[in-house]
Amino acid sequence: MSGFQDVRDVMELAAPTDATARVPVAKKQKTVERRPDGITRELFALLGENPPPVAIVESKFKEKPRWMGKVNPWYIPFFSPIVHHSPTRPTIWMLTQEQHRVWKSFENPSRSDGLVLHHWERKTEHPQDLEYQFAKFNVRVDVPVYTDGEYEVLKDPDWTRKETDYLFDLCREYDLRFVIVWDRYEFAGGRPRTVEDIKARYYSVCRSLMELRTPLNQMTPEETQVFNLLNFDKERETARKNMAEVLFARAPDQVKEEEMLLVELARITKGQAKNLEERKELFNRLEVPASQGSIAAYTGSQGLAHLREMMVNSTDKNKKRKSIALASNNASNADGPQQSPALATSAERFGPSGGGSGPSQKDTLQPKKQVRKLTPEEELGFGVTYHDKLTPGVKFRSAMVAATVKGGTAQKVQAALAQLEISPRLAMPTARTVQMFEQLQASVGALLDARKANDKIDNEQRVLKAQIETANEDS
Amino acid sequence: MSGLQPVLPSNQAPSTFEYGGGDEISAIVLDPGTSWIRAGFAGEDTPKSVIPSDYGVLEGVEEKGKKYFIGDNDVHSIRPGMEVRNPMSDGIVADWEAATTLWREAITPRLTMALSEHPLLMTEPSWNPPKNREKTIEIAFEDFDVPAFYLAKAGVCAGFASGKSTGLVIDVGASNISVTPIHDGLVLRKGCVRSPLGGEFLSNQIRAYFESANIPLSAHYQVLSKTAVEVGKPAEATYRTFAPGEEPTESYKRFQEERVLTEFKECTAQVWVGPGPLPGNNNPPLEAAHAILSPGGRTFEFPDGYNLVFNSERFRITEGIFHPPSMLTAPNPDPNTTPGLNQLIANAMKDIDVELRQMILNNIVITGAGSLLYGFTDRVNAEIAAAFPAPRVRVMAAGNSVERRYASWLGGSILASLGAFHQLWVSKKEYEEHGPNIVEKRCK
Repeated sequence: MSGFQDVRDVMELAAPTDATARVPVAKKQKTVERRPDGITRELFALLGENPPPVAIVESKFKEKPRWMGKVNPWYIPFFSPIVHHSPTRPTIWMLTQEQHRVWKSFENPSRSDGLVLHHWERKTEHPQDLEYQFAKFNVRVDVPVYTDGEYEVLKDPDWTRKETDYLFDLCREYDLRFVIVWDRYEFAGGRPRTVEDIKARYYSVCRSLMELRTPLNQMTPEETQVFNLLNFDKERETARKNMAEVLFARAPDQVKEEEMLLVELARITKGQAKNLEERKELFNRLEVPASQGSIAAYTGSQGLAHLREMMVNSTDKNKKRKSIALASNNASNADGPQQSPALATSAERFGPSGGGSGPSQKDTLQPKKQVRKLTPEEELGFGVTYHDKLTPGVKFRSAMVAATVKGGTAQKVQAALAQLEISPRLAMPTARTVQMFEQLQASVGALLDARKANDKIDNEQRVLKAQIETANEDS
Repeated sequence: MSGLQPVLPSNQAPSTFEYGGGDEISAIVLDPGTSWIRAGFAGEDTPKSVIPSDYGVLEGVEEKGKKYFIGDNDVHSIRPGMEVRNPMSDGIVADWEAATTLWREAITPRLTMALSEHPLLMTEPSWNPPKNREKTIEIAFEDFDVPAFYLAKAGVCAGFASGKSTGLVIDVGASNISVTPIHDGLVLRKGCVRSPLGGEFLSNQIRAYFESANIPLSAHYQVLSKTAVEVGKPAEATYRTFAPGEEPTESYKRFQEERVLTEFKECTAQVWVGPGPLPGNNNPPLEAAHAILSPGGRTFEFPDGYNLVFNSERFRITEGIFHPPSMLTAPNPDPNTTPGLNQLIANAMKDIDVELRQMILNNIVITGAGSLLYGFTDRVNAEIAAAFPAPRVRVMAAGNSVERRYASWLGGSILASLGAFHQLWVSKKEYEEHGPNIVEKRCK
């Protein structure tokens, strides 16, 4: 309070009178939403006014039974209409006698015998006799009833009046569950009936009866719809059921085979779209302008560039131009412009590998007959080499040299080469020079190893000699 | 139950959404079986009162001429001249006087003294004849004076306990294994089949095996004290002696031996995994089968301390359930005419509409205490999957042994606590108007 008074002094306000001080401003009762257990206060404050979208349930031990408490019927505190607000205390949920439930008798209106049963009901001040809440579940299927006069029209040589009556009674009793009706069907003196027989008779009677009562042309659209639904095709249903029977009686092998076929089908349909796309692209490529005249115009590099330009422009803008462009680009590198599209794709896939490494052994997709066997001289001339393993990416050949010498001796070899004033990086790393340089490195390494071994043996020799000498002196 | 599921305090009512419109009217559910009688209030998850169906009786005492000894404590006490009997035969009531006494004993005074205040729901096997059903409703209204009564099929109730209103219920009881197809809460009568291969059959198998292997069977009441002996060595125990004329009856002895056999079933018997019959019985022994069977030896100690390690015998005694030619007790039941469980299921499926078969095979429920045999559900699953390769087969068996044993009671408890069920009760007034025949019309 002293804080308030200081402020009032500074603001030169009159001190509040006792009367005003004593009466607190009636606080507006805030509806404080209860913080659920298992969520921290800070987190709950962040949620604001919107309740969390998911229920937060804290896993906890089973509640300790209240042995000493008074036995009372269960109650539902959260949905209780009676809440006690107090200005002095926070809102609490109080359990009052009013919330208790009472053991009350009730009658079920869906029963005709007036059986009185008892159950727990919430005790309210003004008991109102509501209808029993479960009475509404007493629904029955509407099975038509026919008169004697109407039956004249419904006659069927296969069915007697008595059996038809029996059938309709069963249908009413089991709410048109035809499988159950068939299961319980025991008509004395009747022939055995199948589910289809029963259904056909029932639906034909219903249909005829409907037509009899309202002629077809006077029916409302809804009635016509129902009328059409009552059409039961017995032959078709029997055939369908026979097929279902066959399907049910499959052997394990057949089931397995069918499963396999289904998986295969799924695979094919899944890949079909992709296949179609690829095929379309292939056809597009086959449609490149056919060469009519001689190819002489395209033999020079200028001619080739001109051809490329032509092909790129001739293809539709929407089509994949890149692949075509690449293909033609590749074609200019290789033998000539007559290269087939298949070759172009394979070349495109592997891309221009390295400087002049040419077609590697990996390139197996290329048709065999297209490869011309080169003589060693030719290979040398064209710069064709074969590699066991090629790492992807572009590298300097000189960079590859360093990797060939093994870790430990590498530095010593470098040092020896430096002593001999040979640069570790070659000025002109052609294949041959690199090969020579590697040989040089290897022999330097071998020599260094030999020298090391020699030094070691010399040392051992010296030690042993010294030992012999000392032994001789001792003796 | 996962740890995250909220625990409902005992003083709070469960949400009505949880079980679709429950309305407790404090009904009593009674599920009489060949081995046990289960009774309790509807809406609860376990029966409050479970008593053995076997009862002791002393003839020619008191003015009534008969004295009954009912309940676990009484029936197991040693009394000279007390015969132990069972009112059931083939799963249905044979001795009505004893059955009525037992049923009343199961309800009063454990559940209530005022039977006239609580509606009563009872279960019955699907093969219960109309005469028995009428007699049951007569007892309920005239002896017990209940306000309302209903007779539900045990198979349907067991289905409800697993949340299925359509499916195939395989109930392994004491007297029978019954296979009951249900659809929309109604039994498909044409598909109901059963075979006397239940718990009693299994006991007889074990007895037959013990006899053939010269294994002495003792009962707990015969032994005063015992000392530990090596495996296979004769027992060193002090036995109880009885003065002449004071010995317990033969039926009492058999009943007590049955308890030991039950223990043997629970902890030693096992079912071969299948599919196909157990190798090495009628067909030549297979290497692979022996490799599986022999290392699984289990020791069983008899009440007098005599103990043995059982190997492949554990599988042999149960094999007769699936493969009748492997029975040890031939010719009773006759292996040629008694269908095994596989055959039962095949027979049941044969007489069901083909459109329903798929759905029914997808909802197979296994219940009954006999199904708690080790490996039983796996074998059933394997056999059904092998017999019906085309449709998807799904077998459900409660993992909780209490739920498995009391499934039909539990289903009855669910049924009798549903608000929508209360229109189905047969009231006392209706009974008085129409007579006992009303049970045929109302309890379908």
